Amino acid sequence: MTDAFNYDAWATALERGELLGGRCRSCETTFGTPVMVCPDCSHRGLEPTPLSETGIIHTVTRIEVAPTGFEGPFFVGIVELEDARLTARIEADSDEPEIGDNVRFAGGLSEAPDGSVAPLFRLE
Amino acid sequence: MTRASVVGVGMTTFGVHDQPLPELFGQAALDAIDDSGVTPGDIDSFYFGNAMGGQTENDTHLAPTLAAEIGLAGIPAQRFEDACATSANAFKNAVEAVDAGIHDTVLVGGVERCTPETGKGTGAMTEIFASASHRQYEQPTGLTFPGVFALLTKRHMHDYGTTERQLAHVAVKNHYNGTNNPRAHFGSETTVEAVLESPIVADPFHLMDCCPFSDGAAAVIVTSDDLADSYDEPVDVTGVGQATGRVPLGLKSDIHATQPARDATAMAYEQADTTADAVDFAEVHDCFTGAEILASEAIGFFEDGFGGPAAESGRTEIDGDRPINPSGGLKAKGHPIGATGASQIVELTEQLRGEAGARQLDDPTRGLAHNLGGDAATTVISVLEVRG
Ligand SMILES: [Zn+2]
Repeated sequence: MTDAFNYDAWATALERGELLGGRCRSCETTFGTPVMVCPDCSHRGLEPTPLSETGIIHTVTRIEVAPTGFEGPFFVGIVELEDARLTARIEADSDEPEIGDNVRFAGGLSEAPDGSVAPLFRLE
Repeated sequence: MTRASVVGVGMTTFGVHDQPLPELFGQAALDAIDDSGVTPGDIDSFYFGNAMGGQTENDTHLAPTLAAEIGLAGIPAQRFEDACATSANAFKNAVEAVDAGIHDTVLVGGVERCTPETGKGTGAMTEIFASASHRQYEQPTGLTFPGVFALLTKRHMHDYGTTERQLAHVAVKNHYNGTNNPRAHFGSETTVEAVLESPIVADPFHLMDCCPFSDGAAAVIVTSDDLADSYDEPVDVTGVGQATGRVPLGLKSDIHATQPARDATAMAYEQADTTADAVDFAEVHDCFTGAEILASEAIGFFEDGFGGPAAESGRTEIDGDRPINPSGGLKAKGHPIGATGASQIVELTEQLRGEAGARQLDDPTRGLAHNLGGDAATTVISVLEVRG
């Protein structure tokens, strides 16, 4: 599968500031991150699809004790978009992000010690 | 139906240990062998759990090393790794092998060192623990292990009104139980106020909502139903279920259901031909206070949403109608990752034999162990009973 939607495609897009999900070619369900086989219908091969850039916080935590290479505190949450959920860093200027708050995609975050990218959302 | 029987148990204290892994495990294993009275030559195989020895102390290929340390070199030995469910999975595979007639009598156990004795501090251990979350889609966000369970618990609080006070009650209860367990990492009581005033690790979890990093080992001897009566105090394993779930968190449909725990529970209850109502007590995986609330619902002790109020009202205390974690749980007994699942089997066995000392429950006949791994994407449920 030359056109497989895989980690590299997802991460490369994210580094460009583009949020891609995977859409099953068979059951048409969309997922927030790539996966080789559709979890819902077992069809092989998801195609990349742009995810909606706004959503709400499904759940969120303020991490005070961070792993080596990260500096706390910061917020990590599961963001519920129109078509999928994914784990993301959530940035807030002053307010504490809460479940149900509106968020907007704000690009890729490369804070991990190995430089790997994570989705970043900002509180609206 | 009896699938296999536990005929010997042993465990070290959980806490800080400076011995190398083979010697630490050897203590627990030799205690289990002595407790059972098994002739070492009758041990057919070794089912071993260690989650992160490679990362924490550059020590791998441990199954043959540990077998050789205790005079068992030569027998088949295998190592399991399923994050925090590591030695419960070793136990499951051992029970299945004995039940299937592949082996008659086996040694099962786990060992781990997670304290600074390994040379790793809190930041490094937080990073190593985070390795059980998705490498590509979760770790780059900075998500930690307390963070994973914080995400599940926050949603549970949102959906059901579970409160931080209710979470704190889990810690208070488990610390109290730990004071009656001479092998517990923490031997002191705490209060709701002390929990709520301790620093935040990942909200809603304060430091006192989190289990400690511990060192320790636990081991059990498992034999077949046919051979069990040739030992002094067999306890029967009537059900062992295991299930997995979707990873990463974003693919799960209902994050606080911890669906693998529900699926594994259904399997274990079906094998044991029992129900939650007929289970007298449980040892559950309270890596964080919120995890005990979710587990208490997943194993059917309480309806969804009622785990928090049940903890607050004392129903899960040692003299409550639904005792959970009489050992003190991970919270007070401690959590040497690869030893935790086996230590739950030790506690169930001692409770069912009536040998649990100051923390002994009132004549229990059936107990359940709930050991989860990662973001709850692996869960093993074991049901043990007084031999009928
Ligand atoms: Zn599909």
